[in-house]
Amino acid sequence: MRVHVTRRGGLAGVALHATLDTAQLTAADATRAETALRNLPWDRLAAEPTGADRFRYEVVTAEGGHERHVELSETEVPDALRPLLALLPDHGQIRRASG
Amino acid sequence: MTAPYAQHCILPPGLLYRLARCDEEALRDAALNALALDGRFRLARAESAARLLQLPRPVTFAWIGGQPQRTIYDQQHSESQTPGVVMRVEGQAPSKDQAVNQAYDGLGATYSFYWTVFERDSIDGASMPLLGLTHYGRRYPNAFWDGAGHMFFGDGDGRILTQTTAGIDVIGHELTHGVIQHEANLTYSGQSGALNESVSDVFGIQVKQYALGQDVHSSDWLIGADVVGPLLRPALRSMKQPGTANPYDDQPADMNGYVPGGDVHINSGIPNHAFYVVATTLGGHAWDAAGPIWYAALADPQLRPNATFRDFARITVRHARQTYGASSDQTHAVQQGWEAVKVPLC
Ligand SMILES: [Zn+2]
Repeated sequence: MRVHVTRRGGLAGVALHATLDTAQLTAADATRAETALRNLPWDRLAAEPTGADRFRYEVVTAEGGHERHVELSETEVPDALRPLLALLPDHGQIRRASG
Repeated sequence: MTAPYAQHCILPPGLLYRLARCDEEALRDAALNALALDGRFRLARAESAARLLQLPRPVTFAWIGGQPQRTIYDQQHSESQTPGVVMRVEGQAPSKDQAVNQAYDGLGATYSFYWTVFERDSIDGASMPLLGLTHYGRRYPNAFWDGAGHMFFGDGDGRILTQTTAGIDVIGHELTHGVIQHEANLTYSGQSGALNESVSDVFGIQVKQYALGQDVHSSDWLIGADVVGPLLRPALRSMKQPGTANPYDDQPADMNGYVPGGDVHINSGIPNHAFYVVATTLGGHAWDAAGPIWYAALADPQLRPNATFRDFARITVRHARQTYGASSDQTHAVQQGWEAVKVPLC
């Protein structure tokens, strides 16, 4: 399952974008990540987390023909998605935060 | 509630503010002096009113401040939100872990700055313990304040950020988010969010300047220069020239470049540069006058959680007038700072 992930916020304030595929994970991690992705609260914005400089993730999928978005604060990320998001540092491209 | 102004004031403050903005210099100065005096009374009342809404501060008869209470933890690369293994507590000898010692020293330097310059005893002004949580997450390229008394530091991903405890300005920045939460509690979105970010940079850079003994001309006014990875070199942000700190930096330097709906770390360039202009116009150390004016504005009960840049700017000008006089260099410098970034004062 392919998803477009953008991480925003954080102390640095730069956006990091990558297209990630659960096929990049081990079979067990991929199954868990796909279940977690299907159960995300789609079409919703992130809750405003307390504190400051925390990351937010925007996840977009075109699975099933129509595009769906969800925004998650880093405290809302399901544990089963963490192995997929861990690919972001090495695969992500920086985008200007205002773009 | 009775009308507070009736007790001692003939002119309503709205009229005084209009007079204070008029072109007739003598009238303007008289109005400003009246406002400054009246402002002090109203400030004192607002402060006592604000305190009634909060938990009372502890009353002690022999207040002993000036001593931080640090505890540094190792999160052992977990993303748990609760403190992990205790590595170093106040007064203990250095650990073998460099990040732990950097966090300990950086929090100590930040505490010293707030205590020596503003007589502020820790994050809450009442000797709150300083809890630094290091090695958070795996290759986590960030440091943050969690809103619940903890400063988290990641080891960095090696591309965007490296070990975040290496930046004393970063540690000052995160601790200042805690100070803000205990003062104006600026809402973390829109202009109030960008102000929240800017105030953290403003005090973060002063912590670095203070620790290094730098004056306004020897500082590079860069945020995060010691923690950036190769992609973001040489720094995260420049208070001197917002938008030039690295190839991806798109901070505006004035209101013409304000990004509607932009990340709080983008538009913070505007008030950041205002502070830079004020401090460098005055010369000496940033904490001689510019820092105290910004601190007084942050601690002013009239600074509301949803404050705009203009609200904050006007409070800095009022404090400059009250402390240094309406025609002082300090007041003129503050006005110039906001003018330079095109934030209107009226
Ligand atoms: Zn921040």
